[in-house]
Amino acid sequence: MRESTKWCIAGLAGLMLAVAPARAQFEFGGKEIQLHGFFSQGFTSSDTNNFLTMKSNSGSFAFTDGGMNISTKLTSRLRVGAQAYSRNIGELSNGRVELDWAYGDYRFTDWLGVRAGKVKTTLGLYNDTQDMEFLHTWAMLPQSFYPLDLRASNISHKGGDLYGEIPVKKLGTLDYTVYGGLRSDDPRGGFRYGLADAGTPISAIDGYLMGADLRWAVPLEGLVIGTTVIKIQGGASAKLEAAGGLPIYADVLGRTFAHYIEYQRNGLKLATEYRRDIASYYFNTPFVPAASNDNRAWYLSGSYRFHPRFEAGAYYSRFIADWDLDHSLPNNKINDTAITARFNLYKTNWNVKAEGHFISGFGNPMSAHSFYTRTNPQGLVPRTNLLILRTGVNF
Amino acid sequence: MKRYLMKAILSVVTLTTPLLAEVAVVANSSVGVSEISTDDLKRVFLGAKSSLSDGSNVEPVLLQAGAAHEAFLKEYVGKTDAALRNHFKSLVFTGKGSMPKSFASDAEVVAYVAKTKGAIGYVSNAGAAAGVKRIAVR
Repeated sequence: MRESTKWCIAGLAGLMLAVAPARAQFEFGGKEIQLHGFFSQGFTSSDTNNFLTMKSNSGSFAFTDGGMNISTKLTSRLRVGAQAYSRNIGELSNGRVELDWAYGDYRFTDWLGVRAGKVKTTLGLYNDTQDMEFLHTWAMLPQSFYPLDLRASNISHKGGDLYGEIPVKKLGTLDYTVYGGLRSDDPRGGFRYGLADAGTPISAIDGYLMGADLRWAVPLEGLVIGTTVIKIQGGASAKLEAAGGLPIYADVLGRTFAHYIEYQRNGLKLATEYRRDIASYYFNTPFVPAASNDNRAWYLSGSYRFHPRFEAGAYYSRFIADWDLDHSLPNNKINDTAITARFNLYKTNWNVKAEGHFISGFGNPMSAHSFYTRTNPQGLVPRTNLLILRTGVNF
Repeated sequence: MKRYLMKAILSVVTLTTPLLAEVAVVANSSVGVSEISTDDLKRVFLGAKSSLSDGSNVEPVLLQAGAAHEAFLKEYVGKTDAALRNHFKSLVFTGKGSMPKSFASDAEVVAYVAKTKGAIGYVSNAGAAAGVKRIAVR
């Protein structure tokens, strides 16, 4: 069976489930079980560079993802659940089904709860909901901040969260999440794909991360301000092709800082986020990094729901692969202006989106943000215009 | 002039009072409180608050549609139906929460709240809400 046929069948299955919401909840052994799922299919077409390892230059349907979860409340305070997820983005992920999250969640009080297992990582406004296209106006979130190439590396960790919400009387509420655990590795993700292009195929990535997110819902209705800090300590094993396959091991020390503001009111949604990722790589020199990288990203977005069935919006997103280099170089920047129209065909369960991207620059392929030399063997050019059509169902 | 102003104010009060009075908050008899603040009510219906000041665990129950549903969301939750659904979807698909129970009619809400410990919901006609306790919103 052709890959595209398989994905079409999966899509139809998803659509059928979406129009049968009664199946989403049922009783089993005296407990209510909830079953929910989503599926999306996209089409991309670009005028120059191939995008996200897809053959977008000649039109590509290799933009598919879906997931299904099951959960139940074992007691009034304890909930357990798990979600399976699969995607096919160009040459990334290849339709492999993976455990997206699976954990137990015990809530002692409103201001203290604990989750343990494979847990979605809280980073910025939308890291943990980035797959859920139905929650967003956009066919594709700003790639400077939420690169699909690095989705599996950023989306979750194996460990635990402490979380809670603290009302601060007239000052609104504070939501916090403190977490730690093992980093996720993605053998089919953009990080490895880009490094393999550069002659440094990675064979393993390990290590742990610690992070904290604090978001303040201020007394002004709909306004949220927050910040996330993450520290990563780990390593990567690779073989240097230029040195005849010489094995190397690099210790990696990384830090991520993200700051964000979101305002939602009466169909209007405004958001801006700033993110800085700093990484230092050590090869047998514990105190002096052999290499380091400081990449930064920010975006500004605005959308408006004109009608329950129609909303539109635009964003401007910027990514600088290495802050120490010239920000105007095409191989160091990706500036993306996007405009989107979204149509809700059935409540919030089925939508269609059309989105135009006008992209300047292609960044550094090794930073795993959308453009790669392997899928652009003719050479990358500074400008890309991209059309994305995407439809998604959920139940 | 003063008389016209008074008439205008009375008209506004008369027009708006029935709208607000259409929604009554009801709870299972296990819920110890008899009143709840608007802030706490909002947090309960956003899934952020799972227990009340008396220590009782609560579970929100929704109407699926209708004037009372829209009025309740607008008055106490500050979200449209679509925005509330998306809010709960963001919890469900990250594993951080469950989709609340929802029913098509007042009678179904009342029946579920009456038999379910900790359940708290809203109906358009409090007079028909037998077997549940009425919660005042302050």
